[in-house]
Amino acid sequence: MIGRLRLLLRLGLGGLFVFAGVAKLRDPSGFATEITNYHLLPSLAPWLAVSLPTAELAIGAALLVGTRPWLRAGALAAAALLAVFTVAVAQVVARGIDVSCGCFGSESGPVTIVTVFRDVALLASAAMLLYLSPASDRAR
Amino acid sequence: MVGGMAADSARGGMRSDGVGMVARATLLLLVGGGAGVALNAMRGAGGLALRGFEAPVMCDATEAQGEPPEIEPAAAAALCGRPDVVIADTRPAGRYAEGHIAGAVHLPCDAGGRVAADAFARFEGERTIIVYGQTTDEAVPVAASLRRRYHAADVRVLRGGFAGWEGAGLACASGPCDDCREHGR
Repeated sequence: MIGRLRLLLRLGLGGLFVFAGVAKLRDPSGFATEITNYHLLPSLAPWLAVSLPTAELAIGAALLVGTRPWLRAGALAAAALLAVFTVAVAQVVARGIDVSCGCFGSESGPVTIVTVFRDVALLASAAMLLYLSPASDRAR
Repeated sequence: MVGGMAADSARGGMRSDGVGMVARATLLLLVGGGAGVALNAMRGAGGLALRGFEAPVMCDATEAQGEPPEIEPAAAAALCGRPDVVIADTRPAGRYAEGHIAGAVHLPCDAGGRVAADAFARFEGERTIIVYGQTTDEAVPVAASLRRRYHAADVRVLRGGFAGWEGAGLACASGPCDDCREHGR
């Protein structure tokens, strides 16, 4: 049961990170503009626009095909990124900024409270994957 | 005694696992992100400018919440000349040169980064921004871009566009657009 749930979380989160990374790689300029519109560290927008997609691809690969140590590292990195994303979209909703999400490239919808809940759910999934993937199977 | 040593050893192992996990996660983020920066550098001129990047105006239809509110030409004319109001013309340079609302900033929807940045500099701190195209719909993408960037400003689309403004017999200005040479539109 735990093995199946872990596999499901690996495939789901890993696939999502790979999809998000590929979608953002297609249009770095558009993604940089979306980041600018978040009103958070706009001077870093171009750096984030070129580095985030490939970081997401690396995390996605670690989740999908990584050995146990890399799976755990991938889950931790995914949780860290998702925590940052959650704060970013939450402040957008709180400040009432009218902005496209940019989460999956230029086809993403607007940031709403649903986006915040989705990111919280994804963050919980990454945390659960980390919990269900101990360093050795004897530990749990 | 032996049990205590075993527990210490287990705790040490867990700590070591935790440190290793954090190190690998950091490596994933740094190497993954670094690969992106390297990939962008390999694209040369086609890559994203990491220094001096200015977000361009977006020409796609708005995906954000709600359409920008509209303003009637007569109401817009009443606001003309107020220091906290800026008017933006989103039409091509040729049409702008033929005639535009007096004092309007030229900001076509496909204005590049620096041109957009220069125009946006005029909007900083303004409370009302009136955007117009040849028609009402033509101004919507630029108005949406401005709403995303200046969420505290009241961004409105001129109902009927420039055609409606002219039709109402309101004041216009004409002449070449000095800024347009930079983006040739």
